Amino acid sequence: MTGLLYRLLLLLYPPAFRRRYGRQMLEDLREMRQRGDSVGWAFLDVLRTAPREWLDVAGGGSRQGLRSDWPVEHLGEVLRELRRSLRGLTRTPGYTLVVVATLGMGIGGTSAVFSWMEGLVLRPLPAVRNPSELFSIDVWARDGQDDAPVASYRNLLGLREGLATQARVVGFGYARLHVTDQGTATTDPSPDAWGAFVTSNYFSVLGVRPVLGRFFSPAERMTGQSRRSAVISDALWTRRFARDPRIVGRQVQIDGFDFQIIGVAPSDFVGTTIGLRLDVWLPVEAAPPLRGEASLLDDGSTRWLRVFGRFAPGLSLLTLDQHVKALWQRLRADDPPDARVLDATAVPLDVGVAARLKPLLSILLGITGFMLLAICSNVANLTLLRGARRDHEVAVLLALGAGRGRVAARVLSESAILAGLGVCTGVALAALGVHLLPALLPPSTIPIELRAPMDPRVLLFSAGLGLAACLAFALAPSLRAARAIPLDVLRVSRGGHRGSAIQSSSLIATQLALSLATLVAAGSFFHVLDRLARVNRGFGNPETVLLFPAEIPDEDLHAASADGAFGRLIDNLGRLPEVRSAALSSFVPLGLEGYQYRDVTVAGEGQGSGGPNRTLVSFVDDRYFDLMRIPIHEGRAIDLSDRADAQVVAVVNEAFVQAHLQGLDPLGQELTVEGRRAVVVGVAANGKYRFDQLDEPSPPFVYLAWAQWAPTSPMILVRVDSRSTTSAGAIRRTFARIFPSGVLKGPMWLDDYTSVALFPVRLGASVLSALGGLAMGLAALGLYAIMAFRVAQRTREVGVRIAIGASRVRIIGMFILQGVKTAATGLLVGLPLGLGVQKVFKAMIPAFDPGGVVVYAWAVGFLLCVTLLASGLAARRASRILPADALRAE
Amino acid sequence: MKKHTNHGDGQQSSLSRYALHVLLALERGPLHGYAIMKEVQVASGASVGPGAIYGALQRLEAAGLVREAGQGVPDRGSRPRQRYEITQAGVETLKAEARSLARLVRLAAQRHLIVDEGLGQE
Repeated sequence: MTGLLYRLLLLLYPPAFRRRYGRQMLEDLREMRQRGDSVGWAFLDVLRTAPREWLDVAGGGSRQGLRSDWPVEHLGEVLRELRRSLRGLTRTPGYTLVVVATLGMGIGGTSAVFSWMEGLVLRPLPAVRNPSELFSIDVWARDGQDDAPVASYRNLLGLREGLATQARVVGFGYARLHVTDQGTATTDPSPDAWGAFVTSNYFSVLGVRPVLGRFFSPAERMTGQSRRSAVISDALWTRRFARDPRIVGRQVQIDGFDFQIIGVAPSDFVGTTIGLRLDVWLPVEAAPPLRGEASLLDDGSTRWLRVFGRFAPGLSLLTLDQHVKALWQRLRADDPPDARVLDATAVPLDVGVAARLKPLLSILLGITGFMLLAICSNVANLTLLRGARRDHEVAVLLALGAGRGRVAARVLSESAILAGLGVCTGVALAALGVHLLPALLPPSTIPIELRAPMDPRVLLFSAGLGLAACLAFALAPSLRAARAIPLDVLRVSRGGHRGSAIQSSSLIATQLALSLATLVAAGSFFHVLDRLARVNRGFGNPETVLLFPAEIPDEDLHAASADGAFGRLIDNLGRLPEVRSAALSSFVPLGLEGYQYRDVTVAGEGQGSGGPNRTLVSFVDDRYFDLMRIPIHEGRAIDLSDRADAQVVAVVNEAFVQAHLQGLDPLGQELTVEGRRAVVVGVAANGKYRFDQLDEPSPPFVYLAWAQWAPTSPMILVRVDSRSTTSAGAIRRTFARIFPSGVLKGPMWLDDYTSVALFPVRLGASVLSALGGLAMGLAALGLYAIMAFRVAQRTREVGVRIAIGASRVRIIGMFILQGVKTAATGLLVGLPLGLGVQKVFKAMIPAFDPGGVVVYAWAVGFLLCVTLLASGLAARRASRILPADALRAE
Repeated sequence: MKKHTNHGDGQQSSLSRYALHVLLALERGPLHGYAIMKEVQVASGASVGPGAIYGALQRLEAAGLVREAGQGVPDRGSRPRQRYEITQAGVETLKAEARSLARLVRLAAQRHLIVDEGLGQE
């Protein structure tokens, strides 16, 4: 082991040295070990002497060699050089700042994006054992109409039994819960928590281990008391219970029911849907009372569970999918009413919306990787320019008799300082960037949480790359300095490095091209964001609507419905100050939850045409259309006359008319909804309903009268005067007076609630524009540096021109033209590159829309402004050159 | 920790400390790398690793002060090792360097900067 390590260390020496002495050095090491000498010194010795041998190679032989053992001996001198370099760097704060910032941004940005990628896409479920063995079973509507991929409890049992030998199958359903704890005196400001009803094998199939207590055991029969057990997240344990070690066994009230906490999940496990943080897990058997639907576990038509599982070792997803399909055929035969229109497929574990970020993150990764390269080249550029400018100084030093080793040391030590500072900045920025991702999230009361712990390996890699770039490019001037013959350098005028300038300007053009492409992509995202934000969602002014999801125990619901409690609640709420109106609905569009599908048949449509249509429905009261500002195009809205004992009515949307009542007068048509006949009394404007279909045409939608159907726990909507309302407390009190056993959650603003749909696009827009801006800024810095360098190179020429009467405007124009030429090259490469990036996005994200000429126009405009600014500043410097100074400078 | 004097500009003509020590070690006869290292360690009192020794050897060889002396008779069980020996030029250089150092030491002693028997130490 020691020998191997030493052999690796020997790679640090120049090849010739290694070839000649490597074997002997290994022999020496062996002998040292045999004789019991301390070998640590030999290792240190390699690190101390290897640079010296390189310098010898660079110095072109051993002319200096015998006289000095630098840097073997002169550690003190090295330190002195470092101090001197530090002083030198503080004298040119601009250069120092630019290099350090550039390196820092490159290292930090790349590490942050790599970490996001790792956290969200590559290893999204860190606490879960072998996630590649997990799969979801999506239950889809056969007729192509979209449906939520959820199963009924009976579906779940069927799947679980049928797949018993191939896989272990788990079901869970999301729930918004209200957790209170009488043990703690202080009331939590936000008692709401997202949770899931899970089958008892949930944790064992995932392979997650509790940090405290236990989880539901897979074989456990959840009856009686065990139905009332709960597992909480590490976050909730911290937030609510201050990490009380005696938490296990404690009683809490969840939606008004007593539950006992039996365990705490690890901090890196917050459920299987990335982005949605779950805080509470309850057994499925607890769902019927909590959700107020007694028949939840028997009823084959209420589909509320998501299904996933872990397949047996040796099985592939493909064969599993075949099993699932075959099984579904059998289940379908046993269970005709629901199964007839549905199909089931096994897919890789659905980790939720965050998975949609994969294409975006892949591209971000590409861009940041590319940017890191650009940054390395930028640093290289700056270092080269400084090196070139330094030749003069170095030559003077050499001429005055300074050792070449020392000159090289000075140049190298400066780079080492810059690289060190850059890496430190990078680490800080990476840490910041990792925390920035959650900050980019849409404002929402839904516990969206994107966790992307910083990956030290990634950081090490980027830092190493930055360091290598810095040192490598510092070595070039340093080698040149060590070889330089003073007289040659002194004789050459300052304009001697045209070669490196041309090379640099192509580097800058590449950077400009890259940043242009990024900006074009960012522009497209803004375009999509703008378009989506302006999509007509079918309702108006969501910014002043407060949402309160209510949970009312099953047994109280019917009584409340019968004695008109809901009507009283809405009336009382409407009379509160600052409240304009209030309404009830079973569903609010564009959220993550609450989608209800019902079998709807149109009387005229023959049974042959596919039977009942699974149609999105919502149960609303008479105020709903008014409050949501949903226009009624024909007939009337649901109104007070639609009582429980009156004719069952329905209001359909235009898409429904198009799909099922084409060419008919929709008013008066009869529908069959879940076996009950309903008369269409009105046609409402189309709207957007599903958060994942914001960009698609409206699906058919049916509004049913709240009073005419078995009540469920409603969403209470309250339109208030302004965002700064203080009425939430009064609303809660009013609710509690009428429904003492109920729980009122929220509130949240309707526009926050509906913003989930915009999140991926918003993320893309903000991150890409930040990166694009950064890239452009860096390119501008680079451009400025190179223009300033050119000005410095041509000081004499400019001085002469001014002396013989060139106007300052002409001088400025001359340099700006040079800058514009570089920018034009960048433009020529960048525009097709941008087009390519857009194509990639388009292929990966269906909703993506390049946005046409406008996007290009502003990206190009921005590029030109930046170019003009950077080269203009440099040109201004040129125009201020005084002829006398210019001539004296030589 | 030893504090080293600056060998830079003022003493361009003198050999580096390691080079001198290596020459001094070889003056008594051919040695291989490890043996040179031990000699230098004992004589200089400083910790020296193989890298420093071979670096010095490479430069001394290039200057013609040292040459390879073939492989010596191995110790029990160990493999034959490359040995190095001092050349005539090496001996001359060593003598000249030693004389110059001795002069320096005498001078320093005269000025009571060091005690006279402090020869070989700084």
